[in-house]
Amino acid sequence: MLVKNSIPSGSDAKIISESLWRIRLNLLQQAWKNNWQIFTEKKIGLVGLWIIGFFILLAISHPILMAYWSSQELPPEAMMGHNKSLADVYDPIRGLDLRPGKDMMPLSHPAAPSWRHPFGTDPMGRDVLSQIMYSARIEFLFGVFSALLSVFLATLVGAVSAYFGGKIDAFFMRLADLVLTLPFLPFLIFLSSLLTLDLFKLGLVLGLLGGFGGRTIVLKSQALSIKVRPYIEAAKIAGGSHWHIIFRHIIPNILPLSFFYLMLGVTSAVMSEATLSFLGLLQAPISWGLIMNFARSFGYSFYEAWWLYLIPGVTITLFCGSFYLVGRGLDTLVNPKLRKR
Amino acid sequence: MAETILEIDNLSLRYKTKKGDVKALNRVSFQLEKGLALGLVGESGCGKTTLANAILRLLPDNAEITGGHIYFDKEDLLLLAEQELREYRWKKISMIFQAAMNALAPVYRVGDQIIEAIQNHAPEFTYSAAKERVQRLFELVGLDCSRIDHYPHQYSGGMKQRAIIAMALACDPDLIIADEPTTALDVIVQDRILKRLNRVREELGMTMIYISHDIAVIAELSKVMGVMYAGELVEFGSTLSLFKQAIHPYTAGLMNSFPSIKGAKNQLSIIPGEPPNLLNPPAGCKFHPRCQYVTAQCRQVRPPLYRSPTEQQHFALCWHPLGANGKENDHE
Amino acid sequence: MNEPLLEVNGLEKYFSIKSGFFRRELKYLQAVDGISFKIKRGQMFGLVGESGCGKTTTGRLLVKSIAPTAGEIVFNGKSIIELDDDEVRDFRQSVQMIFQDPYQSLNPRMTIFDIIAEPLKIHKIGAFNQREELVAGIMEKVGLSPAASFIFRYPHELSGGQRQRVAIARAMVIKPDFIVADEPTSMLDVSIRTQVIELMKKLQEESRVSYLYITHDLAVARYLCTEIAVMYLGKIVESGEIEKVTQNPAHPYTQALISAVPIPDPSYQRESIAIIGGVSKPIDLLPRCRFYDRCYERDQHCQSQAMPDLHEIEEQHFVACYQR
Repeated sequence: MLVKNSIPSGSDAKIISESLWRIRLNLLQQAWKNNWQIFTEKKIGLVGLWIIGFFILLAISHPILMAYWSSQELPPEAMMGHNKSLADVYDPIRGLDLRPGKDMMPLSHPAAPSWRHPFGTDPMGRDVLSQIMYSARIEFLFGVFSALLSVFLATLVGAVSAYFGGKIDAFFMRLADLVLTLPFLPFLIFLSSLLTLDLFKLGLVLGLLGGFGGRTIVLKSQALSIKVRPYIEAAKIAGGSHWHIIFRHIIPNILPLSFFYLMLGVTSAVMSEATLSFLGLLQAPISWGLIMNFARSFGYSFYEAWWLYLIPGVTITLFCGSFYLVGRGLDTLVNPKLRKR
Repeated sequence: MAETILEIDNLSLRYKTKKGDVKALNRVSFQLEKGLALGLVGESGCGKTTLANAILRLLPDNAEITGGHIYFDKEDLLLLAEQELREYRWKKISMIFQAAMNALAPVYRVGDQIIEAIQNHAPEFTYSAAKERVQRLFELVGLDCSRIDHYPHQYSGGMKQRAIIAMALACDPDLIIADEPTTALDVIVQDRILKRLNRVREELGMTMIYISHDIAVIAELSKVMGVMYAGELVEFGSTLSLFKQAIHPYTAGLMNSFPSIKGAKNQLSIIPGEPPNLLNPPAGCKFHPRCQYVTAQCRQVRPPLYRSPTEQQHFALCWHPLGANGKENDHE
Repeated sequence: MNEPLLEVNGLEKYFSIKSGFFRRELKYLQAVDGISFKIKRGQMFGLVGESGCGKTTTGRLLVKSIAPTAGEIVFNGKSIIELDDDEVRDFRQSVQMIFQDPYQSLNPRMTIFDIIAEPLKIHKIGAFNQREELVAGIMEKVGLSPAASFIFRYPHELSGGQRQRVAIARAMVIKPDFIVADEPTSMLDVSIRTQVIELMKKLQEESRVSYLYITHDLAVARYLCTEIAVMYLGKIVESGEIEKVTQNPAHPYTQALISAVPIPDPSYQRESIAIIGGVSKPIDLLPRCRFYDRCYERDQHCQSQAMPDLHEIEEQHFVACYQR
């Protein structure tokens, strides 16, 4: 069927003067600006964002510092061991500081925080600050990967099972129940005995568990409330396909909630990772949890080497807390009812 | 002349919002005689609900009364402390809220909820005395007394609304303010409830303010009516006089906006445009951007009070009153 | 001109309700229970009734949004119950629906352009830049002018009346033959409502589209429609030419309904007919006249007989009542 009568093109006053992509870009910009305004109303989200910014700074400054240290030759009198440059001292994995201190005696490790090692060293003589910085990069990649995967799955599965209902819905919901009732930590411990859990595998597992678990149920209930809106029916009556409706109407409307869960997802993924690392079940070069794990396995208690517990502990809390705070800040965006008039 | 029960004098009110002040009421003045039913008609956002809430000072925190007086029985309600005003609420002035029927708590019996309301405001009532009172109220509003012990979910929408009306009548108030009491109900139920409400009002000799967007309902129920637009009372007078000769062009337009089920099929008159945003209302007459008689004067200066030559109580805020100076009311 | 565009025969829609212990008991809500009517080309047909009478369900059945339990819908000479994919696509291009709530019927995350162009996109009508023109053209037609100032806004930036105009534009943009309008004005403010009523009237006269206008407001139906059907608990109790039904109602329910409509004239003394009870849900109905329990003219015959059928009592005026 053709268009029965198109509008007279005589009135050639072009209605849209700019190109469409430019208009859309502008709209997107405007939307970001508005959302940013709402987001910044609550200071809680901003605080979170500042902390995240600080961690990003940590993560990117480590390789830069490494490059700098590599160019710094150690003075010959300090070459007591095999060290050739400062980079070897501050290497988060292989570093060992054998340089003499003021009393011309080498540091005994673990060393308490000092000017040379602001966060101290671990039992193997490695600089804790470099370890914290180096791990930040890994934690970011790991947390965001796992959270993205879980939210992507949860959004899709939630939208699909809300839209189709019936058997598809029943299947995914029972699956979600199963995942929810799964004893989380014992399962991960069991898993680590089956295969060597590295960060990628753990991220995959956490992403899958999150994606088919509780978040799916929440996103599905949100999608259900969207599904009954008349614009869905209008699209259906106009002939829109199932996927058209899911991708064009349902998912864009649950996306703010997904974004909210993305933030919380990072928090929970990093927390699980820290727990597993601390228990020594994770195959990773270094991570915040591992710093504590080393301290423990070398037999140092909190009283003997407090910095090896306190500093990574505070770092994990800050990191997880910052994403959580951003999530709380997004709350107002997700829930227009919370906005101030 | 009958006694005046309520007098609103130059009342102005604004809501403070982040985007600026919303001037919800602007110098509203009228007097209401005892025992009459007043109908307030207007579109959403015109300030009619705000006016009702202002009388009982049931306003949100960001509302601020910027001027004027509300006299109830010669007492200025705005000068009363919150504690003193409580004595008025429910006992002397009660209110039937918009969609109040959804406000019944689902886990308590309807009768008990009314009894609690009575005892809250009149502690001298014992439980059994209050229950007797509820029985009489139920008879009054046309609900079966066996319904007292039922839960809200066992009630239909119309019955819930009757229960709410019974609750409003509980302490024998002098003035009842009913804010769109039948908006969500079907025609037949609406008709029955309004008839009943009106009968009860006449029997008990109460004064009533009836708020609605439906001019037909107001025409049937009220002796006097006021038309509100953009926070102003643009016309006020006896219903008969208003319908005979509307002064304000908005009133005239409103009256011809409703198709009728009876009589000849008239072309509806369209009021062009939309009501103004009260964050930034137009200067002069608030209606001027939509008015067909607009002149330079209208755009700049707030119109004076024009009194109908035939009825002193009938007034409007307009520079070009319809029916004056031989001008034809071409809305007729 | 008089051939019907749409013919409905014995249309039924039952919704199953599970109740009782362990939801074992299966009951049916007889939302639409055997209704028949015809809509002519270019006609505005009114479907009137109180909430819960099945009028919205009927509308959704006619646009194939839900499938009927039984009965036949013939559109353009073809039954729409069983269609193959191509025919469905054709059908979807010739019907549209306008909804009651302008705040819920537009996707808040789409611009006005995207909303109105959606049916064009789905049916692949017009090249990309042609769609622009089509959308702007229809926007001017429904009074959203200048179109350029609205086209890339979001629904929340528009007032209720403007949103309903967008919904009308979305329905009109693919030039359908038939539009179901489900109470399109009941949530709008008075002055805006009049504007939209007049707009629909104008558009209908210009385009000769057929409408099913669903409303609870008899006065609006009288103003807009040429023919109406009055529904009560899933059945049509009275139908016919608008003036005949509204000015001379025959069915006791229609009489009561019309007598309850307030008249905007303070000097008019309206006598309303008092009927008992309220509208119940159409579940577990006895096989007799649906209005029996509330009727003021019922007798022995009504009690024992099945639901009466519509019969003609004068030209173009049908009623389902044993007393007429």
